[in-house]
Amino acid sequence: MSDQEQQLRRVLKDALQEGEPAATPSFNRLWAAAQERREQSATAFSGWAETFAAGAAVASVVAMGILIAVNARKNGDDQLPDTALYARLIAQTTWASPTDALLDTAARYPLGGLPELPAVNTNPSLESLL
Amino acid sequence: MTADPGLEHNPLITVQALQALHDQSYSWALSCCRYDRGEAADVLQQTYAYLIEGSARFEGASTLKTWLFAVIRNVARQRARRYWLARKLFMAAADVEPAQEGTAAQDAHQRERRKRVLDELRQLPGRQRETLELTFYRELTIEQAARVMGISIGAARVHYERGKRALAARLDRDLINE
Repeated sequence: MSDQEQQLRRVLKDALQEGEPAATPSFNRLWAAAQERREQSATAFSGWAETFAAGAAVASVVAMGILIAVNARKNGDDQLPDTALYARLIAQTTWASPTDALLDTAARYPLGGLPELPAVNTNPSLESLL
Repeated sequence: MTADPGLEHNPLITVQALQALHDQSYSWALSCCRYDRGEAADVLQQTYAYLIEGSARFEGASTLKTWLFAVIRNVARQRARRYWLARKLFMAAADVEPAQEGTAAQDAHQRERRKRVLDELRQLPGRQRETLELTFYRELTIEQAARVMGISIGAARVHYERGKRALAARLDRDLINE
């Protein structure tokens, strides 16, 4: 190290040393404050994270509902969920059992069948209908 | 190896080691904060908080002092960027002179001399000023100063040489040889 460099080092060191603060804040105080800050930020983050998660869940449900409604309006029934289509189909269907007509009387009326209707009309009031 | 309570995320550091470096750390924080004492205390507190939570993790690749100085410098720069506008608007007075304790009894010549040296030092570009302060005053090697500043050793050597030459040129011979 040259003489000039040594002199420069000395001058600089003197100047900076004189500028040193007389009182340094206590280590224990700063350390305790840092620990407190750490705990506070951890708690704050935890609360914030829970709120964010709940908000995100609600928002996703609402967004999905809106998306389904908008799609159904735009594209008609094609975009409805299958369950809605099935429910609508069942509500509009009349059920019948055409195979019953093919069974014989005993099978169709297992409790003895219907009373036999007379083959000849005995009620004069119905004459006009013939 | 059992970590100190509060330093579970930084098992290679002990509270005693930090305590031993505390004065130097505060002094370096002051230098990084343009001698704003409140800000320097906040920077140091935030640095300790990072150590506690493990955001800054000491791996033993350098000395603790070098690593801690680098963390302090980064925290100070991070805060300076974050609070730049607020500082501009409300804290113009934060750009204060270095501490003046104990100067009342010093003679005017000494005070004037010191002020000139510090003024000239501040006129240097930031990296040159930091390199000279870290090597001349904080007793770090150029390699350690490079680690603190996050630059290559070659770049630190260039800053060191240029800073040294510029400062010597600015300070007249009488002042250096006094």
